[in-house]
Amino acid sequence: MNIPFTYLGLPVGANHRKKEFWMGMIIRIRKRLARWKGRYISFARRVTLIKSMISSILLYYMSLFKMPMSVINIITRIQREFFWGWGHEGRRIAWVKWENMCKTKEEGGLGIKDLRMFNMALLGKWKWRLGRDEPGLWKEVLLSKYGSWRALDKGIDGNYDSWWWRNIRKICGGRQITSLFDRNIL
Amino acid sequence: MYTNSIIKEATLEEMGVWNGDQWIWKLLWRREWFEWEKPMVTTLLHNIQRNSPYKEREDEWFWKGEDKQVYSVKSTYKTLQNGDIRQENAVFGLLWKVKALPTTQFFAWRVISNRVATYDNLQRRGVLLSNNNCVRCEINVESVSHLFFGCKVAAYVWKECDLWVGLSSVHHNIAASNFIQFELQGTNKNYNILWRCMWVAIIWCIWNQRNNIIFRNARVVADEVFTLAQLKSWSWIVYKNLKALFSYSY
Repeated sequence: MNIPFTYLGLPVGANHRKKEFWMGMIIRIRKRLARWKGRYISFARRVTLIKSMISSILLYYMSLFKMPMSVINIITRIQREFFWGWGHEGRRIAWVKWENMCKTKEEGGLGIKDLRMFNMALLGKWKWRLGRDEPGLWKEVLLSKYGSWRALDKGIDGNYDSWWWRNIRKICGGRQITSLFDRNIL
Repeated sequence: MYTNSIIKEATLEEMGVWNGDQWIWKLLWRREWFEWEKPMVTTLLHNIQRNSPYKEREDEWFWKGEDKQVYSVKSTYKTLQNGDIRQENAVFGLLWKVKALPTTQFFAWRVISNRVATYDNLQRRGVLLSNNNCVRCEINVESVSHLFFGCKVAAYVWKECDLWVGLSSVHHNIAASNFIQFELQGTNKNYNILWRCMWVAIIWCIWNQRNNIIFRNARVVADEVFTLAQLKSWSWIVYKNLKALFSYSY
């Protein structure tokens, strides 16, 4: 068996910090949110399509891997182009700031997910699950390598720490309450 | 006080001992306390005494972001997004409850946020126009407030709506306030949510009429707008509330 291989729909052994790792997904998103499509459907349908795209294509990967900022930027751009119908003739007016569209509906936005923060929130769950009592093989493997979840609180990475573990630590490690999900971490 | 601690990175385990079922704090300090510092130490000990660990209960994790104290991606995402500040706006809370056709609902959202392609908004975004006066009255600059509420054609539509339900009210010129005000007194909340369909419908129909005038050379007919809005909101209500008894009279 060659590495990387796919297990349960996820590539094992590939480097998720590289853009190539995410390329397949970006292509799928491009297809789903093709520019020409955006022109023939209403505002409301475009919002729905963008939202459903996240849960159908991205959610699974995002709950395990930290998406690199460059990939987040690409996907956000695809979403915006789709939404405002930007195409070969150039841009049209983007009437609403993307950040404002990412606000919840009660706050005057449209409830579209901000990918970076959504990714952080999803990954934070690993620390939560690691500290809980539920058993799991994945947990035993991690604990035998890193000792306990407290290893996340250490400020520095060990030489043999996996990149996955380092990312989790980056996002939700640290002992101070404030450093749990610090906005400036990524 | 913290600087005077010997092991700053100590875990709870290292800071005390069990004496039977009783937990006794044993904090280690680098030096003796000065006289003026002693009240501080007493307060600290007093405070932590109340929060001593229990022997019988296992340690548990609690998530502060949510009432249930269980981690949820949703609550975390919310906290990340705006810290502790919630800037909820009652207008939008109401708007999304209205069961109008989504397309029109989104349009109403744009109207309330002043993100519609009216002439003044286009001009502000650098679109060159020969003339930015309202296409109906041809006197005032076309802005959201004028197009939907201020213009005499719009005012006529709102007046007709008032007459229909036997109201007489002064309408606000700002979309958000107008929307909030748009309710039937003496009825319940759910009824008003239905009623606000009419608001969305009127906004949508005014906009369509404006576009028809510009792009299809339609004539300015104020009556049409109101009748069309009635028809639209009626169809939404019937479609979404098949069981609701609703008398709609012309």
